[in-house]
Amino acid sequence: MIESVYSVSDYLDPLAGVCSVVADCKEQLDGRVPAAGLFFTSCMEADHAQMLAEIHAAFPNIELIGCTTDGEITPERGFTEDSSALILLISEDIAFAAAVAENISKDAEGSVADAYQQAKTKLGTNPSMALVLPDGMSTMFVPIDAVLRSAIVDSFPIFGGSAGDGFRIVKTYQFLGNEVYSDAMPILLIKGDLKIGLNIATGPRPYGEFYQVEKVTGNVVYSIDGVTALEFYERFFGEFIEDRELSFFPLAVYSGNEKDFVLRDPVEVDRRNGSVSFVGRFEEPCKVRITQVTREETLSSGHHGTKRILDIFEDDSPELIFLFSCTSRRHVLGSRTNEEFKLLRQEQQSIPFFGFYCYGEIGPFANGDSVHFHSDTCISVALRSN
Amino acid sequence: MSEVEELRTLLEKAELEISYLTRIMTRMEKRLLRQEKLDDMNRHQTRWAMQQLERSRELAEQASQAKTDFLANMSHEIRTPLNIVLGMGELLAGTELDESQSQYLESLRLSGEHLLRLINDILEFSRIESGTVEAINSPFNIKELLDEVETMGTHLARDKGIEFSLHCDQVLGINRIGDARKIRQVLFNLVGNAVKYTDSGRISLTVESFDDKGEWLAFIVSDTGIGIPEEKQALIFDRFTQIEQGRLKKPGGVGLGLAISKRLVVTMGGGIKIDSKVNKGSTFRVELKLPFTDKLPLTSHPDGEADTGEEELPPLRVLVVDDIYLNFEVIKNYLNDYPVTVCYAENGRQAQKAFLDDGYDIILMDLRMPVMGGLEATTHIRRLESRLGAEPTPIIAMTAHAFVEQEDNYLEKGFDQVLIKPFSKKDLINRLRQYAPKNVAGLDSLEKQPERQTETGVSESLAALIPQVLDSIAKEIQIIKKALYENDQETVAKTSHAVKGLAGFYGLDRLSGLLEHLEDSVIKREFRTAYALADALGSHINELRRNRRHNRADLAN
Repeated sequence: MIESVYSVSDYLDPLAGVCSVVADCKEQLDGRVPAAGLFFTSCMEADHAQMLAEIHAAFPNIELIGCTTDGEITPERGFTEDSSALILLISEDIAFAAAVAENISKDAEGSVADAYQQAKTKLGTNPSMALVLPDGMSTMFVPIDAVLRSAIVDSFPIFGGSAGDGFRIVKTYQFLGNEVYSDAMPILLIKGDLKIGLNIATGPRPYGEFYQVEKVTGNVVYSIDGVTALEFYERFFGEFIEDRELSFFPLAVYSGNEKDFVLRDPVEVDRRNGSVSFVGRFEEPCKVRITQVTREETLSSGHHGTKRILDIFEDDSPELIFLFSCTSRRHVLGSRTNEEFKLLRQEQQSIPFFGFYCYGEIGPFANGDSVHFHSDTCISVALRSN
Repeated sequence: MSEVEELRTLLEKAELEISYLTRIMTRMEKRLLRQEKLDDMNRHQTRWAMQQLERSRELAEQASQAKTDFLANMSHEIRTPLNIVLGMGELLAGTELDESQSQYLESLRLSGEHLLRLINDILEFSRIESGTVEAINSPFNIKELLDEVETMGTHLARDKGIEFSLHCDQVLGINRIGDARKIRQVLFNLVGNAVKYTDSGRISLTVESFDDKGEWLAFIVSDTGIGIPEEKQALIFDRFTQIEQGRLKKPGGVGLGLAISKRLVVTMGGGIKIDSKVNKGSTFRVELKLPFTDKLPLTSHPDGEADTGEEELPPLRVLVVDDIYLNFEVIKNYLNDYPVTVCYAENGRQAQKAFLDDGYDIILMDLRMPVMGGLEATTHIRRLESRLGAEPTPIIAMTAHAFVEQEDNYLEKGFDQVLIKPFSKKDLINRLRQYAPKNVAGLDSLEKQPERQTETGVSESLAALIPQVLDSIAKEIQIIKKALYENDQETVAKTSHAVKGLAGFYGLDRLSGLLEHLEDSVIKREFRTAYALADALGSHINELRRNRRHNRADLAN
């Protein structure tokens, strides 16, 4: 059985907030000993090392990973920003082991392989699943899914989300124990007899014509359909006031047939040469279509995703649900963000869920598939120990 | 704690609260601003998408039109060699052939004719799709229209050994306003389809009104045929719809008949519905608004009255110019009991010569004739009169064109009056009286006894000529059918035009009506209707000849 306690705080003083969270969790533990924890914070100006120190002081023996985010997700408050959230996992039959891969923008594969081996050694066996929290700035151009596929030779499902930075798109931080990293990827291996349910909800809907991507390098697109990437976007959306808004309108990228696609969010515009940088690389050759993004579609996909994942467990409720939701979803939903968790919060209050808004989601399309990097999705991972 | 300290603590707490709320407000403001920007971008995107949609629609329409044009052009091009193939087959049929060869030739002919009909359907549909077809509403007699459909339906059904019946008591003999030609075309299509897909049982056409004023009429064509599966019913009015093992897959259709019918009905402001069950039959219901009218339709009998034979005429010399001798016979017969000398000219050139040689009080001039038409002849005669300084001779045009604008046109071209064929004896006498020279009018007039008439209103003396007329018309119908298959529309139109007047003179009204509509269909390139009419004509003339023979046999017995 997996038990959990969690707490969230959006105090003006982030450190005070963490202290409050720790105290709250301690109280909820009521003598039980946690084995692992996840810590997420969207307080970008805070002293993250001090925050981790507070947690470590209270729970020195837990396998703790975490990262900065673009908002936390908890049952108590739904979506919060300028906040910190901690979940502690308690289980007698589930084992946890954490490690971190550093410098993933330089040697992702070697670093990830080392981190995995390190965690696996600590675990003493092959894991049943893993959670990863890579740097969201690095995963814009590092093909983290391909790295995971090649660096981790054992077969088990991997889930996670890229660290955010409160939608500043400047620098993100990752945590392992009481250490703060950047350009890193903490990894938490989990071993146990687990039933795992997965759902990937998406929102943007591709439509209209297919356009040829003519020049692309990694995640930077220079020209599409005879014009610069910037002119291409302006054609559809007008002259946007801030580049940031562009990121809510991903391109659907088709590299094989005209049916299967991946979404790629634009994050940065270089007005000197008209290029646009995206979250995630483009496979060549490829075609793109623009997408339509609406609150209704986004909410509907989230709602149906929750129903689907609950249906997977039929009569047995999951013991814990992790949520990795794309930051663009919450910006599109605006003041309706909490409606995304309406079903979980109102009808299934007994099921704890915990997650954050990230800069890219990680998970297989379905159980048994290999891991992929997604944009504009909400990945739900439901767990129950058998 | 002192009061000051307490106050300071409270103040700090309040500041914290305010800061906390300010942060929330700032976040909300940012969120709102972002939402507004998102909405702006979405609106821009929607506008762009709408423009694209509109552009795509235009392109799709252009592409569709290009395909339709291509189909029409190809169909037209295919028709020419196909007509040669059919013509050659006709010639080959006239040679000595053994039984197998005759069978092969028959197959060739049937397939060729089938192909020709398909091509004609495509041409017809293309014409409608081009958007040039409009409803032309005018007074018409619905009874006459339904009589024709009945004739056609009965003929087609009889060939397949099934029944056809018409039920329309409430609307018989009522003049209404509508586009009779299009209604006829739709009903021909529906009845033709019903026959095609019904192998046993019956077909009925019911006409009933369904609103308080009685203006809206429902034309209901029911059959006991193979029916249409429910899931396919929504598709059958689409062009080129083919339903496997269904109604439209049967030989004889490319799925255009119902598409054409629907478009025509819609053009007339009506609707068409279907109710069908597989292996039970189908019912097509056409609803049209056809208001009543007091105005008489433009028919071939303007007066609509029987010939009384009570008019008077002075002695006259009348020249009848008509390429169909039997028409002359009619006029001569009409004038048998009057002091009128009736002479005959076969065409305009002969008329010119007769005018110069003999001089006449009145000339009755047909318009369409070989060698020289009536219009040209009249122009020549008027020129001669002018050159000779002679008084203009009244020239009365005889035509089957019943349109007012054409009548005016003839008067402008030098004619004094127009007689619409077929005209009654009374019409003729009235016209002759109107144009008889004044110095002789009434001097030697004779009062005539009414001539005995047959039931059809034709005088007994004319009725005696009917078998001969029927034989003659039967031959002409053969010519018409041959010309139709050979795509010789001019011959079809001319011959139909000539024969319809003749048929009318002899009281063969239904025959005359069918011929009139055949001529009309060919001129308007409605070949589907034309073929149906030609078939109906053949059937009808045979029936008339059969009845005539039976009557003679009965009399002999």
